[in-house]
Amino acid sequence: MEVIFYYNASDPRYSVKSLTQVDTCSGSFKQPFNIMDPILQLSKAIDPLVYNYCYIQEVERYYFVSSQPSYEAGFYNVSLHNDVIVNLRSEYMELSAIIGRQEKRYNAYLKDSKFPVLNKQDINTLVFPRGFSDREEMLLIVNG
Amino acid sequence: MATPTDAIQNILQGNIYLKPNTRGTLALLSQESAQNYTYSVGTLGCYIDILPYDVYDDNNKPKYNIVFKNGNFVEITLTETISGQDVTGTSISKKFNVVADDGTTVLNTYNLGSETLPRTKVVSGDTVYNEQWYYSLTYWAQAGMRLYSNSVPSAWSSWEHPRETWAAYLGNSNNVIMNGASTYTVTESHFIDFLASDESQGTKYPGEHSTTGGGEGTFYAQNDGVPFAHLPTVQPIDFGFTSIYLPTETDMLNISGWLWSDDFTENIKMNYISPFDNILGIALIPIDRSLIKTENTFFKIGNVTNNNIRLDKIKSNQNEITQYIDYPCGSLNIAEYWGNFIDYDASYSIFLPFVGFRSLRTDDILNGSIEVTYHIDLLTGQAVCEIGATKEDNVFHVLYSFPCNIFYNIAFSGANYMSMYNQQLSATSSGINNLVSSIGQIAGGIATQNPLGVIGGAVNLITGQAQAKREYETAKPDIGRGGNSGGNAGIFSQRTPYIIQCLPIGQAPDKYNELLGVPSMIYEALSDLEGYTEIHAINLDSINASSAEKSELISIMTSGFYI
Repeated sequence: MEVIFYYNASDPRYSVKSLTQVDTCSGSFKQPFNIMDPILQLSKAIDPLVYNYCYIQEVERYYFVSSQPSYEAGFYNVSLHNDVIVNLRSEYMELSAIIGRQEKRYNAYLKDSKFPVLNKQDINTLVFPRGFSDREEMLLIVNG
Repeated sequence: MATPTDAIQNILQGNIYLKPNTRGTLALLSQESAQNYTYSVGTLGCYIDILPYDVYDDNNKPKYNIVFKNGNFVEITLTETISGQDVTGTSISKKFNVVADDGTTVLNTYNLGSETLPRTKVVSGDTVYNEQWYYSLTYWAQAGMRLYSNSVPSAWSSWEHPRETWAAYLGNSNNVIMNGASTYTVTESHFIDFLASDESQGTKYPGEHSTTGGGEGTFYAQNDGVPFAHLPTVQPIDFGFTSIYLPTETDMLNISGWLWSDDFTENIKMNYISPFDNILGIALIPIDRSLIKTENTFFKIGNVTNNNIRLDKIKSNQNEITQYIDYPCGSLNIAEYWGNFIDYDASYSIFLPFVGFRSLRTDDILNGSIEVTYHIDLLTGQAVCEIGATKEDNVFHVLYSFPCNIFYNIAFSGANYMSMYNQQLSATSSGINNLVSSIGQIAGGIATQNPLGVIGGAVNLITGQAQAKREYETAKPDIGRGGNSGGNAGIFSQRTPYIIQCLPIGQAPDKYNELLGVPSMIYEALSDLEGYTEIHAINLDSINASSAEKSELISIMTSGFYI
């Protein structure tokens, strides 16, 4: 099967990756196949710092290259890890969810335990526009 | 409650069953009665046992599930048997035959290796739960039929028979008789109905008596305005017994000179022991005389008028309120500083002349305006300070009310001075007691009803309602800013009310929203979002992916990703 290798410059958490194709190789999956963390058998070694991402048409999945190649029984074995956030994007983007935190759609009045607050406070005084007179008047209260 | 035999028949006949694809099992025999397992030849024919096993395969799917399709019973039979002992703690080799609905066709055989049987907990006579089933999702209650006998009924070729055969064999007797030789009486306590996570029948777990409720709110909050109090409409100075003058210092010299003169005492002594009995009070007030409605008249005390002394006297006119005055101090707008939740972690206190420091509830005043006014009785000095607020709903409410006294009383005789001193002492003592009893505001209010009040600053009360504190504030003690400052002490305190605002200082780093997000709690289509997102709850049922992929997707979504 054909394996297209890319250099992925994006944070793994991005659902849209910035990819640069670097090579195409043929390879096969080592059995038993595990869709989350398959082992790819290649006929040549690759540099996982450059070939850090790949697409395998046969399973229609993008994978992170997660290990250095190890030579075994005539093959270079490379561990992969399923990039589910990319592979399932078209499906989950049609869903709705309760959003816990968001970059742009948020409510700033919700308590945020991550928000850093200094352990000191800004003390201000606000004076009302009118007070009692600075002068005193005398009252004499009498019978009559 | 079914009899034991009924229970067996019900099980065998499939009358007790779970909803399709729900977890749990049918019934079990108590393992608490170990002697029940010491069977001799030809004792109990069968019993239903429950064994908890880890029944999930690598793809997180249950390996062995008791499935009842359309109400039909698919029997799972444990073919490996042990006998003559308490099975608790026993290692058995596990092998299940799944038998088709015809009761004979073996659909599948599962060799499960060996396992030590855990002890089953009996909670009560007919309720059971096992900690492992209850607390661990990786365990799945399994039902098996275990056969105990070394003798097969003559009509049978083996112990494995469809449930109908067993039902017929057991008959309707409460005594299960095997081979006619030994009998074993199965009592009700040996059978326990076990319903685990069966939504249709509720749960029989601890807490089963919890009830549902709520959700019937009106979503309507009545919000009537509460204006400042109005002044009384009847004033004692209209009754002719008392008068209030506003003398100048020169006037007071003239008056005192006259009061001590022979002339005056000759006229008055017929009725009074001392001329000062006609003087009810002399006080200073910090109010401009232009605000007091007066008329200039000859000074009169008792029934004697001095036609040589003219003074300003508070009008005595039944058509006009003159003894009481309103003294508004204006309003302040209290705006949010940060525009987020930490504004509401700020604390506010207010200094009120003749009252002292008081705490304000942040939610009462923030993002609105606050207004202070005094209602004052010029005859006694008693006053009420009211604080009202208008928030974004534009409704004005009086939210706080503090009694106080604004007079600085002046002693004019020995008896009068001692009386004032004693009251002062009493009020101070009361203030100290208030501190000890830690009910500062309430007690302080009571104390200030005394005309002489409590000496300000002498008592350090822990003021105010406790406000909800963020973690960073919890280590900081709530320090009172002062005591009551009514009465004579009030004249030495600040005369203009002011608010002390303690603002938290946020320190959100740059890119905070992009890298951490901000709490959202909206239900939204993911396609309508962009940027950093953490999912609080989502249902991935409709996604076409393996369970492992869904699990990882959930994990990533809840810990944060970029759409």
